[in-house]
Amino acid sequence: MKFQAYLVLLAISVTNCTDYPDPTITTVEDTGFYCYEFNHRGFAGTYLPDSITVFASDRYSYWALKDYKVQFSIIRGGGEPDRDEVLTDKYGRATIHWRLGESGSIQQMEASLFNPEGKQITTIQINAWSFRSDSWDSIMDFPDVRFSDMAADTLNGMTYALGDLLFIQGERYFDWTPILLYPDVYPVTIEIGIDGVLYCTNWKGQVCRSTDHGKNWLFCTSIWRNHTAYTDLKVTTENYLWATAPNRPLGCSRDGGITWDTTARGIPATVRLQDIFRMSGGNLFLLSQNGQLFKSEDDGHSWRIIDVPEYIRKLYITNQDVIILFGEHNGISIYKSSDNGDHFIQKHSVWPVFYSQMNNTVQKAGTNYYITIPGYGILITTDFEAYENYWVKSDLYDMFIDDRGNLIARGPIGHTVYYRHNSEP
Amino acid sequence: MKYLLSLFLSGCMIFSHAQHFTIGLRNGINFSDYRGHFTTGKWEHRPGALTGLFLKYDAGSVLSLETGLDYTTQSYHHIAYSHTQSDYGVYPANMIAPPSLSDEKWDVDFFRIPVLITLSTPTKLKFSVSAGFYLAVNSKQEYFSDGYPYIVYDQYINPVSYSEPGLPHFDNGFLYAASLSYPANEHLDISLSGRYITGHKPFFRPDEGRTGASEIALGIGYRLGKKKRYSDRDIPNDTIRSRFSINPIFGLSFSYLNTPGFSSGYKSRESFSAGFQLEYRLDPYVSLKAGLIFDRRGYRLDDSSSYFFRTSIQKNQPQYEVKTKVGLDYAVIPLILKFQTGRRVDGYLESGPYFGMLLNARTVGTAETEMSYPGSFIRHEINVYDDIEGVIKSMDFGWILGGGFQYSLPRGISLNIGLQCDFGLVNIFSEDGEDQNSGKDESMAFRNRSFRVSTGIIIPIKNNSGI
Repeated sequence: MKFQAYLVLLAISVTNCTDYPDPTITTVEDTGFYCYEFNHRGFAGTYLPDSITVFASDRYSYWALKDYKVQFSIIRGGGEPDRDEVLTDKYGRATIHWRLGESGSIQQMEASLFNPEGKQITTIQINAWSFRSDSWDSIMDFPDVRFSDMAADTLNGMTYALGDLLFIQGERYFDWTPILLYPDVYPVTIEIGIDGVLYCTNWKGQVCRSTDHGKNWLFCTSIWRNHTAYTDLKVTTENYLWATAPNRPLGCSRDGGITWDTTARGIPATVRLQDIFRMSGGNLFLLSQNGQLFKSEDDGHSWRIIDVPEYIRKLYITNQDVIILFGEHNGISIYKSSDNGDHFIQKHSVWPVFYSQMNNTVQKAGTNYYITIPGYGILITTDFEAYENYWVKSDLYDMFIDDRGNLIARGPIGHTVYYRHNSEP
Repeated sequence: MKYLLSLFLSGCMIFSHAQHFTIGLRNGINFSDYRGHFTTGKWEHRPGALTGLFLKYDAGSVLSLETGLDYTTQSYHHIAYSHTQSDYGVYPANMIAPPSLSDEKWDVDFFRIPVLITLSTPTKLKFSVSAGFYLAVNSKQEYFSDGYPYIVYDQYINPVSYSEPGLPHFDNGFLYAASLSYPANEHLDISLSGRYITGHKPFFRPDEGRTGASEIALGIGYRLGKKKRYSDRDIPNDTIRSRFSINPIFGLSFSYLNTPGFSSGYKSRESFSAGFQLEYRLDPYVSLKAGLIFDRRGYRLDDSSSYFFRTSIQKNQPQYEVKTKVGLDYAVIPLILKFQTGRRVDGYLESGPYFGMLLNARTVGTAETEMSYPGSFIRHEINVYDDIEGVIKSMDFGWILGGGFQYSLPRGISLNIGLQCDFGLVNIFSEDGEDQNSGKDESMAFRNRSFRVSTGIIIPIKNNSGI
């Protein structure tokens, strides 16, 4: 009995006197599960051209994890993988092919990783963007959502987009390949001449030009001495360059940026260039950013103001010399002048949900003119007399048409880009 | 002049009452006990030296006053959680910020002047309990952190980006002591004392921690004047003397948490208690007991939780599979009324309140956590060692019910075997220890419970014959 009592005493004493180890946190398992390309693009109902490969590895030792089961399942958009389950190989890889569903826009597949004990330990989500004909398909992916400007070269069949880098459109209209640029060139706006020469301005106010589709760039002659601020640049149909900047006189280069003429009369230095068009007869019309319309009948050497309605924001001139103005009156109103700007008649107006800068407002494809009103959507007209709603989309900001006639519209920068491929123009 | 006059008067007083004074030396060891609002990491009880002079004035056979001058070296060492590799933000819910990855150590030397009031048994082998305060001067300090030692001695030196300002020059606080002393001859007393020291003013940054230590010291005292004999003036009569008895006890206990609502994760833990009780016999059948008992309480936690020391209600935080043992050390002062039968095998029942002062609170054990994020899976194993005084209330209060038997042995001594149940009435968790998701819900109150089997001997206190 004594022995048992001592034993109990000893056991309890030992239990209470145990020296516990110091506090430590030990990572005993650290698995990484990756897919190098999370966002794929393809045509609806077809297999993506590239396979989908996921990798499993130990993040501490970087050892590949072999014989881990990967289960693929579609969670959005329909479609199917060619295999539902794949074991990782000795490099930790599991590869499948993915046929997209028939729906457009986003398609999602989930890859789940199971350890050898059969326990699901982590998942990753792989996105694909699906594109159909004759429908608007949205994409929320880079680089598209960062696009701020575009230029279409119909002569050479190329389209350029300016985002965080300069991109050139791929064979598929939703593919974009970056063009490497010298840091000094880095453009903030891009324009294209009728001969396919690219022009851009950078944050230092310099104008650059490229004659080889963006591969190489040359700096144009400085327009103004000691100018380092933002420069507004437009190109008219005869490859004249027009530039303004804060408190700088209107600059015009008639030789592709080699020399600049800043002696134009009748247009003050405070005028900032919004739009400029040349009519078939040679007259030039220039809209300033504060809504003044100037006309020049001597190749831009002298200008005079033309009376226009108030709050004009945008100018467009058709090949038939019809002048179109967009003004903030009764929402956004469209004015038309068929008499060389002597009279403007309001033809249409819409009420946008917000007002914003109007960029590529009028785009022509075939006989149709597509008119993008930020905060309202897209109108379509053939003669600027009758208008139809093409797509009422109140979060739309801008729209562009590439060299192949595909419509590329965007919401606020950083949000959504919409593509539409029309099977019949 | 005033100073000299005071000194002269003090000297006259000492010599006129020389037989009441004892001076002596004390040497021992202290174990640091950081007092503060901490919730994570381990504070090591590191040993340090203790030496000192003491001067005791006996104001009677029971009451005495004591002061002196002590020199102690104290070492406070905080061991933080070390990580085997870069972690991914996994911390228990009571860690407000990721824990420091560096250990820290403070070495501090003090000159200390204690002032104590002591109650002693009027016996040859004296058992005494004391309480008082102290003033201390910080004479030297050193700080070490993660391999970057630097000395802060009267000035602040900061060779690394992390800075620890100099510690205060002065400290004060409270002392509690218990001692046994025995007269070796007419003038010399030998004593063994244990002290518990807790600082009063914030001393360490950044959590305003206080100093603290447990000390064991061996002392030798020289009684001035002739050896004092206990007389009837000191001890009025034998009846009173015989009514007192001292009862050293040792107990084995099973403690747990009373957790209404969700108690499945809590288990009982075994522990021990030890201490002394003084018993005053009111009549042959009724006694009053009080004492000082070191009592380790606590519980085990075996559950999934956001904390290492308690369960959590909501599962929206990192969850750990926790297997820990929480130890709550209390200095318990019971006040018990005891009813007994008065026979040779004397059965008794007892009941009364208790007050507990938290000395230490600690969680030890293991925890595991798994985290699955998109594209990653991480599993951690954690050796848990947390000092958690910051989440436990410093005081406990409750009620004791008990009973047992006393078996009379020769020379008036009795052997006691008893069973006590302690019912805590206070929610032990402080505001910071509450589950952040449960809010102030009284139904979530956690209270100490323990069952204790204790044994001890009851020694009647007699005059200085015998013990």
